[in-house]
Amino acid sequence: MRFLKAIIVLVLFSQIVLAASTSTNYKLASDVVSLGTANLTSASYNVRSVIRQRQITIASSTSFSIGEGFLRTAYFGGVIFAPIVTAITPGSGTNNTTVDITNLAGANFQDGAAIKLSKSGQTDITATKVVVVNSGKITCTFDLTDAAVGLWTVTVVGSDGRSGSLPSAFTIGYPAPDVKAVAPEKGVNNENNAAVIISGEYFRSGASVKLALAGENDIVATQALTTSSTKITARFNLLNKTAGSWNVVVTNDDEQSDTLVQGFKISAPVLASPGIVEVTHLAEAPTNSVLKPMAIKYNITDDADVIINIYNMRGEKVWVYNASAGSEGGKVGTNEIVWDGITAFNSFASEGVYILHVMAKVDGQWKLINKLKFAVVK
Amino acid sequence: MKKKISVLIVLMLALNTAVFAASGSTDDATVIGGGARALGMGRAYVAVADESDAPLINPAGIAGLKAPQIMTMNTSILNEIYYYEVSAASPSKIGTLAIAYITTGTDHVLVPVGTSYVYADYYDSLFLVSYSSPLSRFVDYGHNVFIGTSLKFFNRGWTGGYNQSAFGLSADLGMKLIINPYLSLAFNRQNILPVSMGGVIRWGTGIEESLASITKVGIAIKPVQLQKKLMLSGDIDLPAESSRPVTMHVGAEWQFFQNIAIRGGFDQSVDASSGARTSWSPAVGLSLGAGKSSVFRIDYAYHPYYNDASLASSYISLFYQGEPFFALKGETR
Repeated sequence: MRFLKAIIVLVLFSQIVLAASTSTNYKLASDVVSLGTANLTSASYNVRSVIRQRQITIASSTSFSIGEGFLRTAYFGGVIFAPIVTAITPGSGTNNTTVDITNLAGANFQDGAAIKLSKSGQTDITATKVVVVNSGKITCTFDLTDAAVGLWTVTVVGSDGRSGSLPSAFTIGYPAPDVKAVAPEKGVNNENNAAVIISGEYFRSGASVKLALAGENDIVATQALTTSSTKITARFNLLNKTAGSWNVVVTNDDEQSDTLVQGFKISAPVLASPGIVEVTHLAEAPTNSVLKPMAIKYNITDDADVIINIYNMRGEKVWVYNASAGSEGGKVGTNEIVWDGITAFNSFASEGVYILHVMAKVDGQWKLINKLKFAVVK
Repeated sequence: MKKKISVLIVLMLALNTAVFAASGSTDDATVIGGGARALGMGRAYVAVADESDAPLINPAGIAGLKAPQIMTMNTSILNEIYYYEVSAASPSKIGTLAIAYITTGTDHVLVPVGTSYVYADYYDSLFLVSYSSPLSRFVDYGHNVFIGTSLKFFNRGWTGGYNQSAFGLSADLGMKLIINPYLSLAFNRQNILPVSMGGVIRWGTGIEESLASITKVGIAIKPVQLQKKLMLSGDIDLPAESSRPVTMHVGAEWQFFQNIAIRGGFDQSVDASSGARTSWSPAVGLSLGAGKSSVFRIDYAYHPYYNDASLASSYISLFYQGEPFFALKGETR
């Protein structure tokens, strides 16, 4: 039986050879011949490479006889080979910008090809800067500005009008939110309705806001209102939350999010506990003075701008000390400021009682955090 | 007459120098500013003072009294310092006499004693004896020139865990020139006694503090063409101590009924936190009274300091004026 098939094949190919007998291009050597559904082995015919390069995929067709095919190579290239799209890189973009396609992969690409994205009900997006790198690769650029989000079909149209498409190959989405600033930048953990304004870009209606800190439960905004694509107003319950610098996370309704790292600081109330303010008289009075310098000590629970006012018994403000947040006088913990007993009017404080007010700037407001009566004796 | 008045003014201003004690200077409790009426006018009161509290601002002001008066006032300064004052004045055959007493202080203050601390109470008292009369009592002119003086006795100290006291003496000298019923000029030189004449506070420890001297100059105007019941006033405080800034005060009083008046003013205080070392604060006041020949009146003033409501003080004065003395009835006030 095998022998019989071999005879038949030999007879067939002998006809080809006979038909192409005027050409010396075909050197049929021993190899596998793939035609139709049959894999034929012959030590005489080597036609595989030629046929495969032409991508003859209609293997089952009976339109082509082997004899015609080899004799009419121009027929294969001009009529059959339409563009084929197999992949697109990158496969997505956002509708606020252009995207450069670095590899539109496929086959049968030819110079003059046009590329487009299409979606039902939408205007096609035609690529610019199209470069056919080779028959299997094209680079180009799409302007996705204001395009509808969703899956788009990529189509390559050859110069001869033939086209190839890859359906739902490219995804257009919204841009991710971009959190740039939070105002105010900090709150106090005795507030249960702290309001903040978050500035940035690409905020979408329905965006959610939360504060996050490693090891702590997220503080989800009790209210988040996207007033524009660049502004969200939010409220947080900061009551008893851990002091520290928390990340601010904004998540749009498409689940895209952005984080402003350590964008919001939660602090404890700036307080000097009652009784902790004290005035002590230091060592001995310096030369030319009858007054011993006085050390004013107090604690605050967070860095803050601090003002120390000293009033005399008539209610007159006779001495002031300003300390900026973080400096001596305005740093978290114990602060010590020395008053030499000389008033702002360059006179020695008279003997008597003075009233000390320690004020700190909390949430932009000056607050009296402690006061103390103290004596000046000579 | 003008020449002699000028000489008097020059003489008083010449006293506007002070010899300060080595331990510095101190003020007296009259800095607060008299009664609630004066405070409601922003302490612009030197040329206005015409009641029993005048010795606290300008002793010359009581020269025109026709009936005895008594006034009290109390307040709390910075919610820490108590302050009471009482003043009484009465005309007499020899002129108008007045006494006034102020006591202020606080308790439970930590006082350093050696290397430790004790709690003590502090008090600061001032007793004044004042006399005032028209200048015409002494010379042939000056019926519209009032002169007055106060002797001031100071007593301060600590009690409780720390006992120490101080005494001092000084005097004020004032003048009020009534140019016409609608215009008055006045000044008062406070604490005129130099250290060499005993014008100091002496502590038991040997420490001496000179008493800060201030000259107050003021004007009071009744703009009758604008409003008959309105009075405007302005003061300037000129401290002898050069490092203390000059302060000013302006005020107004509108007595739209006989026994009802409203007041307002702007009061400038020394302010260590200000680049100019001074700052203005508003003041308002209300007066409700009853009676004609004898009058009972309540004065109220609200005065925030340094534009901070938490530093505001409320002042309440009770005032009583008796019947004019028979012998003085009909005399020009």
